[in-house]
Parts: sequence; structure tokens; C-alpha cells
Amino acid sequence: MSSQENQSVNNEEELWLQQARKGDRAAFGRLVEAYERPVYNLAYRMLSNRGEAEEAAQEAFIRAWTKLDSYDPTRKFSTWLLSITSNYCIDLIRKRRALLLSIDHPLPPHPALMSDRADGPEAQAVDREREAMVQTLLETLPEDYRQAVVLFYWYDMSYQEIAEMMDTTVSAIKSRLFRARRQMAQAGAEQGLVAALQPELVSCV
Amino acid sequence: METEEIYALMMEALDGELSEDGLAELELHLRARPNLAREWQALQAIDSLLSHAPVLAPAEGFARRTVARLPATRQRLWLGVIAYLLLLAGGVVPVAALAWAALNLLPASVSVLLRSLWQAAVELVDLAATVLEALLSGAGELVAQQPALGGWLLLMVAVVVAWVAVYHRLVFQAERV
Repeated sequence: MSSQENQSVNNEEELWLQQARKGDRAAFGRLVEAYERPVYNLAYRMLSNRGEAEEAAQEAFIRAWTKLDSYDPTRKFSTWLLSITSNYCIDLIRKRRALLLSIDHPLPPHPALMSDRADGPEAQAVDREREAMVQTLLETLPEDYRQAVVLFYWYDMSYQEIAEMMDTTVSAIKSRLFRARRQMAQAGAEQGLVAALQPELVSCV
Repeated sequence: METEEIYALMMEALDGELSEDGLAELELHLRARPNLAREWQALQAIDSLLSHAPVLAPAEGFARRTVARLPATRQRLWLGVIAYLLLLAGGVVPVAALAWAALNLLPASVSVLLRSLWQAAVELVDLAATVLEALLSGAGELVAQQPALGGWLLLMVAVVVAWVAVYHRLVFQAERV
């Protein structure tokens, strides 16, 4: 996207935000359309369940709507919105634990949502398999590690941005990410998932 | 080189922050440490898997369904401020009115009024102290007369502490390595 297009998108977003602050539901609807995908994806990666992810994503937007007055326009709207989403998901995961519903056995991802790419059946099957693998590995992580991993890999956020969102230091995020990767590598090796990935491995050394 | 130092190199390599020389050094160390070399391969595989995972979209009509669920009125900051000021006024206004009435309508002078207020405050503290003393003394006598009661109380405290610990472990059991 060129800088002119970026500017135009930012101006539109600013306009929608101003209108939404005045109570314009349609303007807020435009913001929902613009951010439904990143917000839903974050919720799904954190919760591993389609129904819960949709519910959590909707709840995040509702919270954003009710708290719009407390949004600081000097911050990125996306960062603020994702922060609301991830905090809500973490609360849900903790409540889930409190109810003693085990997350040791990850819920299967919904096949219809594995990928929106219009590939053939074989490619879709591979995508589904990889997607299930991703969620299985994410499920092995504690919620704060999972949050850091999701923000890093899917949202292209810098360590600094993630640290600000998670209210911690850059070095803590670096270490959390590396531990999370090691934990996933170990889990992947134990479950035989890593071996399945080896042929595709692009060696860095 | 220590294992932790090799891990530090791996971390930098995964983040693309390791120089050519650093990568060569890492490779050298991994050749001598097959276990770490396997872990490095697994780490790369995980990194590659996550880097290529797509951003998923919600089901059709998500925005419409979400907007339909938005509450009719937004929680506005100024509403909160007004509510706070009203609560504050609810406490301050009657006190101010009483003070004004006491100063202007009662026949007593200001000094007499202040002395009375001070005396009332002192008596209130005395009353609280008397009640507390009676409670402690009563509890002491009860324990002296019924020594088993102390044991039962201690047992109950221990049970509560144990249940809190179990609950805490269930809810927040650490999964960190």
C-alpha cells in the first residue's frame, strides 16, 4: 500500500472514530468491518474455538464501543482494539480453567475457517492439517506466552509494541517468545509434528 | 560455549539479527552438539510454521451481527464525572448546610460549638474502645473456659488455607518451563 493510500485509510478511520464517538453506530460498523479479521484471528488463535472466538471478538468490539471516550487518539486504534481483545481472551482462558474445563485436549479448529484461499482439495487438506498443528502447539503455551507469540507472528508487531501492550519490558518479551518457541518445539517433537515439518524446513544455518 | 549462550545465538538467528559471522559460529557449535542441533531444527520448523499461518476471517455477516449487539447508549466519560460530582455533592452539601445552620441559627458561640464537637468525638472514640475491650475480654474468657475452641479455630483456619492453596493451584497452575 502506498503512503497516499495509507494516509487515506488513516483519514477514513479518524473520521469513523469521530463519528462513532458521537454515537454513530454505522460509523462504528465501518470500523468493525475494517478490523473484524485481525480481531477474530487473535481471538481464535488464543481460544482455539470458532464459537468462542466469534463471541470474544464481538465482545471486544462492544467493549471498544462503550469505552471509546477513553481511547487515546495518539495511540494506534488497532493496538488499542487488539489489546482489549487479548485481555478479554486471557480472562476467558482463566475462567475456563477456574471451571476446570481442561484445555489439555485442544478443541478441533473449524474446517470451514482454516483458510480462505481458493485452492484445490489437496491443498486445502494440507492447510487444514497445518492449521490444526498450529493450534495444537499454541494450546501447549501459557496464555501470556501465547499472547506474545500471536502478536509477534500474526500482527507483525515489534518487540517494543508487544511489550507496551503487555505492560512489560522488551527483554521480557524476547525471552518469553524464545521460551514459547522452545516449548512448542519440544511439544511438536513429542507429538511427532516437527518431523512432519522437516522436509519443508528452510535452513538458516 | 555454554548452552545458554548458544540459545542466545539461536534467538538472535530466529529474529534475523545474527550476523554472518554469528551464524557461522552457531553452526560450528551445533556440529559439536547434536542435541542442540536437533532442537535448532525444531525451532526453525516451528518458526516457519507460524510465519506461514494465515490470518483467519470470521463467518459472513460478522460486522452486521456485532453492530446489532451494540448497546443503545455508550458509556460516556462525562456521565461518570457528573455521577461522581453528584455523589460528592450528596455528602458535602448536607454537611455544609448543617455547619451553616449550627453557626448561624444556634445560640451558642463558635468556641462552644467547637468544644462540643471535640467532646463528642472523644466520647465516640471512648465508646469504640470500650466495645473493643469487651469483645476481646469476652473472647479471651471463652477460650479460657473452652480450651478446645482454640484448637477448633486453628483447625478451621488450616482448612481454609489449604482450600485456598488448592484453588489457587487449580486456577493459576504455572505451565512455564
